[in-house]
Amino acid sequence: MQRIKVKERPNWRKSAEESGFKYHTIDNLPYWDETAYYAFTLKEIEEQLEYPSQELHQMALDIVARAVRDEEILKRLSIPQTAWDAIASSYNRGDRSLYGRFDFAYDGNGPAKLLEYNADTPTALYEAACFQWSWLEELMASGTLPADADQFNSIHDRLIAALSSIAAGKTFHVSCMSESEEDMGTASYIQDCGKLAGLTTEFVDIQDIGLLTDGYFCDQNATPIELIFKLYPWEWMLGDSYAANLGDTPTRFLEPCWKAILSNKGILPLLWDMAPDHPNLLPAFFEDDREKWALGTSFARKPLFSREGANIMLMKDGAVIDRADGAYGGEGYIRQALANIPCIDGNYPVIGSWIIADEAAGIGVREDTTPITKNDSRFLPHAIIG
Amino acid sequence: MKRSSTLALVTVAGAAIIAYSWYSNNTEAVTDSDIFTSVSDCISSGVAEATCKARFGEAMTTYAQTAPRFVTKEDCEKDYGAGQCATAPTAATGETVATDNNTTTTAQASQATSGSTSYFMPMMMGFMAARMMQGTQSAASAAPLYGCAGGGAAGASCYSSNTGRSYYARTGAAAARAVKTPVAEFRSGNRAGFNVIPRGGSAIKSAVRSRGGFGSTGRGYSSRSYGG
Repeated sequence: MQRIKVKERPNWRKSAEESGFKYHTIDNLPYWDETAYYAFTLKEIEEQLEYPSQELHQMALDIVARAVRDEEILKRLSIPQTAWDAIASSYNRGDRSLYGRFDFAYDGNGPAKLLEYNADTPTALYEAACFQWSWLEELMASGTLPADADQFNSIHDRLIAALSSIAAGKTFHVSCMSESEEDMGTASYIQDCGKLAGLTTEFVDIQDIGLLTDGYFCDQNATPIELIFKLYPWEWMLGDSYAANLGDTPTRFLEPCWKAILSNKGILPLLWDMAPDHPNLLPAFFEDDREKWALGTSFARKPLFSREGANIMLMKDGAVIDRADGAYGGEGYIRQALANIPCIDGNYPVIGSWIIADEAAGIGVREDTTPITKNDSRFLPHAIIG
Repeated sequence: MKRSSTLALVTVAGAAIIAYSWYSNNTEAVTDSDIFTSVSDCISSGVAEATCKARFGEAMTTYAQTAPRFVTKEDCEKDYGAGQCATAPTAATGETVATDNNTTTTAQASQATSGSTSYFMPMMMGFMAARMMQGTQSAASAAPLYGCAGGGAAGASCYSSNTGRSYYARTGAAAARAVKTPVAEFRSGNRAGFNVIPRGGSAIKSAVRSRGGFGSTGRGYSSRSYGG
């Protein structure tokens, strides 16, 4: 894996704007950054990222299968008891999942280490699936990259294929908190994929969802919702007043309710417990588990529920080396051994590895100037060279 | 090959929503306070906020249910002006669409190979509130407004309604708002509008019991993104 500086395409901001990718620059700082790219070999992609992602996803599914029958695990994850039925019935019905993203520490030497699994509401999807793809095509066309370059990125194709199967015969609703431009971008892209899959699609703000007397949730026009993609975390859904209506509703959700088990940082100690010394896992323990002391004074502390790096604290040799503020942490924490995130020219890359419909489907690289990837970390494209 | 093969650069969210302000002309007796480019425009004209929001909501509903849909973008722009139309969501079978020669046809939803058909509809650029509609027979108290064909400055300052009438603002105050501004208030509403298809005959089978039961937890977190 190499970080290679490269000339920006002169017109990329314009094409980003035209394609609706408006959050390419955030608060006058770059979010999309094509002043450099990450070059991988095919062997690195397949053996160090693709196959491990596939395996870890299968292990995560094994944990779900156990958790839906084991109250102790659900308690451990601070999932409210009122939600257990909805979680179990979504799993027992076989509700399918659309997508998720593993974040890995990887430096090209030795195995990638799992930092976390964003299994419920991952973003940075459009930029990985589409904008990164067009970057590669254009640099190959201009001769900047060799004509036989490639990219680990079949995200777009797989999203469309997955939606046409999961949502076959249904009207496909898409929802998020529409005041967030970035979330609107991700939700709208999912909606576009639904259209490309031949579905009838509709958008509803998460706050405009209603409930019908027959138990279906409905959109702003009182149209029953059969299947809805919601870019709004399950742990919040389960804390909202409609949580009590989730157990019986015929409305189906993407991600399905059982993803509440996986989008929880508690999955990290559960995975470690299931497969200690797995090459792609870091030792991890619940904060209230005495075994955490095995990590000594160097560890990452992460809230069970957290996104975009919020409330993560990195401790090295007893000193805090980085921490991110946020509003999370009330439900408890886990401790994870410190990952060796490489520092390349002052940048700390983290590899986001996408799972689409249970298949490893591609990667995107985020970079930060600190070891914690946050919501303003830059997105860099990648290429497979050689 | 490990990358997508079929991707033509996909656009997010279809067209950007941009509403104009308008400036003077005089084809209809309209005053500033009757035509609004946004809820905030309405409020700054001195109308009560609750009234503005209610009228905007009514206009959105009408827009979603009655905005004309066209088979081609060219046809749409011929009536509503260049850049004034956006892709409408996939039409349901049996939906009525306007065509260029002002007749109507019935959409055949399965005619495209993918099983879906794209239509185009004018973007909602503003709304008309009750006061100016007193003389009409319309039961609605607010109506959506679109762009106008005709081009040039006149086209840019002109709004047209579902009835095909054109309206121009005519006071100096509006000239101060002649700069194009994105209308944030429109965004969620317009997204909804673009995605609503009138479903002729498909009755809603169940009554609404309640609304708004999701989102309160998320509102407790201030973030640029609620995903991650």
